[in-house]
Amino acid sequence: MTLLAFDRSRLDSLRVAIGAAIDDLARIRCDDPQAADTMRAIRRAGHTLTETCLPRVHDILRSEAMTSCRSSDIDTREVLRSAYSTMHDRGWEMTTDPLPLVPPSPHVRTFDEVLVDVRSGVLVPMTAPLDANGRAGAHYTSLTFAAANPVLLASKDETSNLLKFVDFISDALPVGWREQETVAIYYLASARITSAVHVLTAYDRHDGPETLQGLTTEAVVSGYMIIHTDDTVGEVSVGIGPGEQDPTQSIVIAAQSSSTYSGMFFPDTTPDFQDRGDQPRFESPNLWTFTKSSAPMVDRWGTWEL
Amino acid sequence: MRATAMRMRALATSIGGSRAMTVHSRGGLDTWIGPTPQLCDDALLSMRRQLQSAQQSSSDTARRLERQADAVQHQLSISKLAPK
Repeated sequence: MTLLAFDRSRLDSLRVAIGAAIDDLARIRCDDPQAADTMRAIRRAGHTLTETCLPRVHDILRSEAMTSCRSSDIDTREVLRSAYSTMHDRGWEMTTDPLPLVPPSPHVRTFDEVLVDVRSGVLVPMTAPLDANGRAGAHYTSLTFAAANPVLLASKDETSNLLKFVDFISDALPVGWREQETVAIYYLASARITSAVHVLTAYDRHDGPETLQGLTTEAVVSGYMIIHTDDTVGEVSVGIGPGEQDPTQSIVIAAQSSSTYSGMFFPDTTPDFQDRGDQPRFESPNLWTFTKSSAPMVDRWGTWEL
Repeated sequence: MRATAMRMRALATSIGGSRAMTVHSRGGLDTWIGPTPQLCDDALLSMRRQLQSAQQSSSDTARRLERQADAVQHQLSISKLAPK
């Protein structure tokens, strides 16, 4: 269950302000042909207020807010729980979200349909992040994707026969190598994409590069994320027991694993990137971050390619 | 041209003075918190950006028309002064 918390008097004030804004916009008139685009923008703004914002505020104000809230009712994520608890302590009212979080998608393709549409060019990938091309001091960008409920359409094992063979014989060797390649496709509804600008310099791969302030933009868009994951494990093992033994009966004494991913996002519509405000936000967790820069990769970052 | 420029300026002023430009300040984390409020706040901020862009565009058009009107007027005054 998704909850929201609100201050009734301030929300009522927002309702009045939206009504006043709608009245103001409706009063603006200009028949001059030069003003056609401006008038269209004003009508769009009025439509947003009338059709999107005001109904949501009305629904929340009309809802029967809970007077108390059990922690088990609250979203399981700790951050949300903490935020809601704080709001409850401040005397805010809480209620279930009266409207769906995201509009239902008209049609979500299957795994195979996505691949067919990607190959045929029906699905167009999002513009790739800027690449510094290895030039020190050059700017490059990273794209971070966050979504509340990513839907895994399917995942398929793409490991080559050679790697499967290496994996097989590793069972009988003192030094083994196991590698698995997987392709997964997710549908992200209303994913928040954050584009951040960095300068190519040396950085700690655990902390990542410094982000240039004031240049971060973001967009909200739905679409398909194709992720190619490569998991590798190198291991050293010794046989169990003295003398001649079954070579497959061994114990791993040392292992080193790594996991990398690459991928691309195919949006339903062209993302409209806007400046990111400074206000604290209520956000879904980041799922993937991509870059094309050939600099040493940051932990948990992936490469923008398929 | 000057009349159109004046209308465009008036339009830009109307947009700037509209309460739609400030309505977003009534929302935010001091008013409500949750996924739907966040989407609604985003919609308000996006609408404000659209209006700011429309206001800027109207002002730019007005300036351009005024410059053109000045240029035409200048040409006319030169042609009047020229010996016949």
